[in-house]
Amino acid sequence: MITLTVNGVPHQVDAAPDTPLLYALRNDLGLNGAKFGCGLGQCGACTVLVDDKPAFSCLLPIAALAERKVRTIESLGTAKNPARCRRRSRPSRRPSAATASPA
Amino acid sequence: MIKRTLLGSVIGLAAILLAAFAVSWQPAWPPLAGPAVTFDPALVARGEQLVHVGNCAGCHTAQGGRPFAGGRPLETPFGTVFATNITPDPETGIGRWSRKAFVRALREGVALNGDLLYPAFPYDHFTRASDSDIDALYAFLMTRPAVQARAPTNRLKEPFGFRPLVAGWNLLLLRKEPLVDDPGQSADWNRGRALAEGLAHCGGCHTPRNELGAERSDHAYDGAWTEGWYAPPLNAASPAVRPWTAEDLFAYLGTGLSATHTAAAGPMASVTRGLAQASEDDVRALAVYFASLMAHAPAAQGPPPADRGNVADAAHPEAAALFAGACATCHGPGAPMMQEGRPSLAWGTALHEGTPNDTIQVIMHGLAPPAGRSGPTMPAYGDSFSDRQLAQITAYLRARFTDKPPWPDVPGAVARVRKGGSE
Repeated sequence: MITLTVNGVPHQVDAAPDTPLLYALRNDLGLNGAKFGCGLGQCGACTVLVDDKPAFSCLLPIAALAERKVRTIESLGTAKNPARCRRRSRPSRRPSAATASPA
Repeated sequence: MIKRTLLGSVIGLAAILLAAFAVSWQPAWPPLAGPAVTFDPALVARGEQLVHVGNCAGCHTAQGGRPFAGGRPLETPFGTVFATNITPDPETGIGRWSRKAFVRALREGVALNGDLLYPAFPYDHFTRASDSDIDALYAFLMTRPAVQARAPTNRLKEPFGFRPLVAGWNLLLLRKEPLVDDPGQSADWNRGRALAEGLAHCGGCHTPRNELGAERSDHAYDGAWTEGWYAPPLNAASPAVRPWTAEDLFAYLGTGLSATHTAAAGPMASVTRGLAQASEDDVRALAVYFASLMAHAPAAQGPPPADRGNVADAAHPEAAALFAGACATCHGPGAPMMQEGRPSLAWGTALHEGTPNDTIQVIMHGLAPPAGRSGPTMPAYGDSFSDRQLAQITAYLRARFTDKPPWPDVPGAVARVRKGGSE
């Protein structure tokens, strides 16, 4: 078990230490705001904040995150009053429903 | 310690310097009255190729600044020197410099107004540049858009702010004799040597310097520290584990990537981006010359080291998990990037150097091609990994991809790179 502190809340995650943070966020914690894009640390769709600095979560194994604070886009504002970057990525602002991935 | 040696040297040289004052005065030359003459477009085009061989923009363009407008700081043991504006602006650039004045600056290190230039500007190499190459450079630079930009004042330690001291340096250390072609070598080799020793000033980074900051000709291309990076040896002491053939070097120098070695990083990435726009003949000549210098490097004589994943995983289990999660997507044996024929980490020179510095630099800062250009890309891990994790991965890479003993004090090296310094 590895402890991940995400959006201020500690979670126990039962996953291999080399599991990318992105997979733990989406599969174990149900936080689907960060997306899988290229998987190569280039497109930025998986970006989260680690100790307040942006990091590609697709290339960041959870073993690296003990004692570090992760923030995901879900923590920026609230569902009722989302932060500006979340308002920008709302489905209604997307060009078409066909290009939007499920949240 | 270095400071003390320097002081000693300075005092010891006082007598010579006194004599040098007699020759330190250089006349100001008359500025051009009007705009420079027009230039043959073919000469301008040739100059553009050569400006990339010399990587003039590497120093004379500030980060985010206009091309050739200067202002980029160069850290030296003697203080910070700011590159000057070499656009044809009449007030702040070289717009009023005649061709003769330009030649004097390149070959003798003297500005239009008679000021002695600091040898951070590699005129000690440009003594070897041919007249025709210098003519072409002049034609190219004088036809660039003029940018008004005055370089910041140099921040030099005492007494180096006193420019006439440079006359003593020139008297002692400036080699002015022209290079004579070696009839036993090919035309490519001779051209490559002329470029390497001259315009391309490769020794500026790859040759160690003495206490006075001059390249040690008795240790040419032995490898040296520059701007936080270790520029590896380019002679028989090369730590490369695969032979650098002229073909390999031609690909590496012109594209920044060798399928049999590694990707260029740090200051060398800027050099290869320049050479990508140089003439292929000149790049090939450089490749032929350096392949001959490295032909007998013993490190490259045997087979390259194998991937010792099992051994390294057992010895560094924590780092093995970090590598699997962060690095293996591209650098693992079955990764798509490897299937495309990119070089194994085992073939890169950095892991085989005597210092972990360059490996740490690449992991911490990644590789990024300039905006709008393609080239080797790697995310920066400086913010993702702690210093401890960076040190663990660095030691793991050394154990897994080389057959060399572990580096001493990797955590210390990580801390130095984090602070932006080097050994």
